Amino acid sequence: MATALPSQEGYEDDYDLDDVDDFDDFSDTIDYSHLNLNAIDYNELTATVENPHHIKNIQLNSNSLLTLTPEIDKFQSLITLELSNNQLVQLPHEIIYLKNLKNLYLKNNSLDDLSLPKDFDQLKQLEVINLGGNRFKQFPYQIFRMVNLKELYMGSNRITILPDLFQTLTKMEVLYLGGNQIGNIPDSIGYMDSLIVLNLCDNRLRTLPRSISRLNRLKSLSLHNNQFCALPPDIIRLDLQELSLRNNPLVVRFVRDLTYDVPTLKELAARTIKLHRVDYDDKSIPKCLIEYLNSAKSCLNPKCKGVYFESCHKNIKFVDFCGKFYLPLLQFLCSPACTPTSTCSMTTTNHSDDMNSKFKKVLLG
Amino acid sequence: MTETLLNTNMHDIHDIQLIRQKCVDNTAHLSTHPKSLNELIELLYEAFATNDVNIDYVHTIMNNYKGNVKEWAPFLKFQPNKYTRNLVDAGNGKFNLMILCWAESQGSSIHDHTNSHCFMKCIQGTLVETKYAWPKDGGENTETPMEIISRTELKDGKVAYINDSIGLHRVENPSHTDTAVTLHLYVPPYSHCSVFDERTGRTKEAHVTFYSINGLLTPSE
Repeated sequence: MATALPSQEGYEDDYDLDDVDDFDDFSDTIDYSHLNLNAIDYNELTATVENPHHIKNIQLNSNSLLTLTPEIDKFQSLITLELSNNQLVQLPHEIIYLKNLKNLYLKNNSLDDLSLPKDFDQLKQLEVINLGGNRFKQFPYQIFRMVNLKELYMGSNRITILPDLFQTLTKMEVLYLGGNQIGNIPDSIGYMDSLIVLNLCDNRLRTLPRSISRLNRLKSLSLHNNQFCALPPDIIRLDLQELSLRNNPLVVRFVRDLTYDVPTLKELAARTIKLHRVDYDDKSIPKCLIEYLNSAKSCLNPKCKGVYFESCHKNIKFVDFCGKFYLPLLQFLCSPACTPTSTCSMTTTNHSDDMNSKFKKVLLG
Repeated sequence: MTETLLNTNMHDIHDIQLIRQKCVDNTAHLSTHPKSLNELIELLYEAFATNDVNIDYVHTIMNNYKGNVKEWAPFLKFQPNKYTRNLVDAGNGKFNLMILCWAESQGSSIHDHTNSHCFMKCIQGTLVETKYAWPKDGGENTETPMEIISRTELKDGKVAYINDSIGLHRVENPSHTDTAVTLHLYVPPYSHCSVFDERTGRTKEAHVTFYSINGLLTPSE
């Protein structure tokens, strides 16, 4: 490592060769950002660097790079690689050999479904990846095997469908999917137990899966600029601090489209049996009817003891938050006549006040 | 156009009358092109030295101030869940200068400005300001969607101005990939405002807080 200095009279005693090495290795960062570079190779990158193994941080953002040098894997200590705002169409396969890479920023490039190496998931220690502002039409499947990911940004791409595989990402805290064309949120999203921030704004969503209520660490939910008419009632159970709902059709259209299928005679009879707790067993009625009776679902009206089977009334209940905003929640009730004031059978409990206190602060449109 | 601030006592009123007699525009001698954030603040203090505030001058210097990222660095604090308000200078109670940091897709609620002047300069990224008309007062139980007056894009140092007589607004960062930063000046400062529900026009008081003051995080509630 020590390079011999040309001997000069009067200087040998003044120079400490170790200091010279330290000066070269002073920084663990290579910064060639904002330089309008079209390309940069390994030798150019390491021109002023004594030891590439000491480099932890490479900033190449805001250039015009079309490719990244395949010799990138020589920077074995690299933790952060900043490549945002370039024109990258492909990542070199060698990137998977960066065993210490934790943060990879690739926003605003020209990456598409074929740009990530097939074994991209070999970057097992990756924690933060930003793929926003690219041209992904499909959600990169390699991501689901990268279980140490904490933050994933996929904003402003062209994704329409989300695979139902999110349950593997149990360490993920921030998931940004805003600005795509996603029509449906899969059930597995509700199994990302560490999720704190979920951004789904600016998509084509109409509902959320019920599993969303499992996300008990979720603090921020962005749903604005979608097609939501109402939300699943389970959303009440979340301990949210921020919720954005602006620019959704919300209720007005939904209420107009509400229809109620009149229950069948079979259902009416079953409801009566359940309500009045008439005894039944497999000696008195056929087995298929027993299964039917056992499939009864409780009416969501807290004051109602009624049940329903196939025919339920979708009701919009407005839940009042912070004394001002009305959040429309979908409720499955046993009949349109079922309201808090007139029910199949009165109870004395009132759950609606509990719902108000569950939300701390709501940013409503 | 000058405006006299309220909350003056007899002493101040006498002073004002004296000054009025001497000159009409107390900012005529001041520079209109602040070259740094500190100079902008100095000019603001000068402009607010008396209780006569030349709002046109304030608008001019906010417009002309260019600045750079190094100056704003202590106030650039982004949060993943909500935009942050970072106080730069408390202006001796006569004005508040602050920097707001908007991460991707973050936006404000629709709000008023509690009788204050509000200048908003976009110093990084792009913001969309949607102005709304005041809801008509139909009583407690009417629900009428709020009416949009205008929608404008703010970037590259452009300054937007609003006060309650103009209307209400919502500000949001429309980008999913880039952050945005705004420099705000409120004359006088306020700590409460009203927020509005776009679908119904209903309103509620909101307490306005700072994420950081002079670059230091405020303790969370």
